[in-house]
Amino acid sequence: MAIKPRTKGKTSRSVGSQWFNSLSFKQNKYGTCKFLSIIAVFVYILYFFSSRFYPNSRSTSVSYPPSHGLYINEIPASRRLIYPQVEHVPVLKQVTVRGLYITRLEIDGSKRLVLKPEENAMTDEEKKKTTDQIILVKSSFLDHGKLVYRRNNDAPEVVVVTLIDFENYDLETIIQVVQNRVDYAQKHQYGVYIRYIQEFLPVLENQNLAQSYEFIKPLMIRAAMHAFPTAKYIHFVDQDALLMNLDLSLQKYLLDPKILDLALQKNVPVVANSNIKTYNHFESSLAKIIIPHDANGNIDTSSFVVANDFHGQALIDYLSDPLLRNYNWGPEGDKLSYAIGHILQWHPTLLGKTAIVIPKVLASQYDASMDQEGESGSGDVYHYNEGDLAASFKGCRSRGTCASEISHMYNKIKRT
Amino acid sequence: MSNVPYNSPLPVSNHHLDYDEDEKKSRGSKSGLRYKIMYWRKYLANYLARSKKSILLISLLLFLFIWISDSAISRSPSTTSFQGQNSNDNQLIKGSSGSGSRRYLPPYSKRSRWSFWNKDPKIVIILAANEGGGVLRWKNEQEWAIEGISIENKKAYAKRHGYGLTIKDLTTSKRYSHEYREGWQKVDILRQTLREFPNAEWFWWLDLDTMIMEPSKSLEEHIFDRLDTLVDRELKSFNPLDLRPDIPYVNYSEEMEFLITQDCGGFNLGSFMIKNSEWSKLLLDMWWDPVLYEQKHMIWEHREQDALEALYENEPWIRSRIGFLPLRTINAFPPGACSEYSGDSRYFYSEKDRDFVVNMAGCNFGRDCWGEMQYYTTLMEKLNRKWYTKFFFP
Repeated sequence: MAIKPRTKGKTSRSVGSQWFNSLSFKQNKYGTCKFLSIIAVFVYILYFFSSRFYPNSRSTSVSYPPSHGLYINEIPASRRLIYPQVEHVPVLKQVTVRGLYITRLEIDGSKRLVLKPEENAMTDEEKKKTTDQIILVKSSFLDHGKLVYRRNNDAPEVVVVTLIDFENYDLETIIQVVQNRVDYAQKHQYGVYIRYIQEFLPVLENQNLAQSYEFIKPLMIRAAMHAFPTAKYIHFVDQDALLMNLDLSLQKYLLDPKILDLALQKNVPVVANSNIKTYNHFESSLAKIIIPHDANGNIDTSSFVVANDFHGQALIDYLSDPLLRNYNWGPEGDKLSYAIGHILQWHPTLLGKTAIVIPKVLASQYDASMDQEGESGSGDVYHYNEGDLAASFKGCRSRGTCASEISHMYNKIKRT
Repeated sequence: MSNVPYNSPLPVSNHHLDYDEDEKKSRGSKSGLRYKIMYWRKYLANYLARSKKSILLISLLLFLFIWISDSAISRSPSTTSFQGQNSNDNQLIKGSSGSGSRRYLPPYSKRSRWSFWNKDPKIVIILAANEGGGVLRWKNEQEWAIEGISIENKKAYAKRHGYGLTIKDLTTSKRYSHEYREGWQKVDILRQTLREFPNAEWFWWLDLDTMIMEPSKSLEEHIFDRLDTLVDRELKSFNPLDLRPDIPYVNYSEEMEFLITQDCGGFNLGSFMIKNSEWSKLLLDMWWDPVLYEQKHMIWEHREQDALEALYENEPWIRSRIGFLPLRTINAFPPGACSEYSGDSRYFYSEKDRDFVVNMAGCNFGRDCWGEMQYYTTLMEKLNRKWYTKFFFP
């Protein structure tokens, strides 16, 4: 009965307020209210500011060095289009690779080219003072690898990446290849990242260019990922390939999940005669690596797309691991293709992120014999037909026809 | 006789009758109830009007209390700034899996401090038990006892802090030996456990020969809240393997997803933490590769540990997300392990510093596992005895 509130509520005073009043706030009503509200506002301000500053004050103690590429001191690039000064090719041919790097004599008697990661770029003042053409060419060759694109307001989403070879190709072909990439990239606001193959020789254990050629591709892609950290996709195009249809934007033509779905090779052996097959239910929107099969059902590395996230980086870093790179992948053929095929067969997590597509969408094989018969091509998905994104001249080195095929096709590209 | 069986319910139900009676009852007291509600409402309004001050004061005190008790647990490096380049957005295609989220969430972020039991623990302890399972030889009494003590120790710890505990049986570890793959079961178990607890945020792997010496410390306060100050990511302070301290393309603005320790011989995987993420799943998949392993299995004596060292040495995507905890934070050694470095305080359990975990690594190679386990169990009990237990168990 005692707990029941009294019916005449007006006169009764609650236990709480009695206790409160006895606490000494016996001044007038408004005074205590004011006092309390001031405290409340103060507490609120304290809370607001403490949550602002607390985390920052703690984290100042931690600082890690910034990410860097092969060189520690880097130069910010002013343009999205990063390519070397190709007019230096004749001089570079004279200088040769041996003249560009320091050679170190190893204990076992072999000679190795060495790259100096701490090397600084040549300043403009030094360039002005130098009259020696060879030194200028050399420094421009070495400093080209230090260029990184760090502007955020104009960052490209896709970067077209190509390697060029000043030893085995003449100036005319190199200019055509570089111009082709630049034309394409400018049309779609993409970035371009082109470097000499010879820039990566010192990184390799086997410094024979012909033997290690394929494994420079992942090194190059990694450098591009670093040079354009905000780019989402890296599109690697071999130098023995041309982008023929400059109007096709990668996002609309390939990266759109619906369209990628149409080009997918589902439930086919990952490489020819493999027991491991590509997934039947592949989530195209999660594709991080897009790579075509060639006509034989093996991985074709002449043109492929890799996402610039940890999935893409994992594949590229794995391919650049010396243990994998120096494995005996067989005497002939595309070693990189074997290595990628191996990785995809043994690592389902990566296979689940890899879209294996028909060659037509990324790298149609150019066949000179078909081209002469009729301009329209064969019509199958492996060979180049007019309107395809890229024509690959794979095998032209052994045929010795790279220069002629590239210039023949280069003149067919419609530039509007 | 009709076709309706005897036990079938009659078509008439009592419901309507009941309803009528109910209504009659409620009708009688309806006006009283309404009056009561009105009365209470009025009383409450009156009360509120009269005691604004006290309500303000009480809510203020309540707020202060919640704030202070809250900040006591959430002192975490929620926004860590780095000198390096801004981390690139990993989320390539919108709607892809949550791997791209860049925020560092402490593992207890969603756990209420006051809940005693949660269905989805944010931290799961994986205890590897029953190695060999007595298949090749009998398990002796001491081995059974060690197992019992070790499991009990982890169980009590997990219960105390609301973590999950899963005990993984290594009976089949010998199956891996025909491929020179002993030790690789760890990777398979981890992959399986990651699938088993999809909502967990971190996993803590513990070998059987370990003892949590300070059960009162939570992993949050001991590790995750002070990751920034605890972790070494660049091998600056300790590099027993002489790995290259700096390789190209390593990006330290990535968050750490794999916390391991190093002992005198290199990486130690007797006690480590791995985050439940896409990156971890990829690492666990890439860890073992026949091409790498074929070349090295004769040299890689510690199998998965050596393989990880090789990957760490050369691959920036792995190096970017690994952090090294000091050995003594989660993996202190007894004097018997790394005994050639007996003067080095970085390795060994210190009673004075109240180290968190002892790992009796390698005790079955010529040392006395049972003796060590007994010693540390007694020590743990002694150190963690409450003052009032002295009255009852002097």
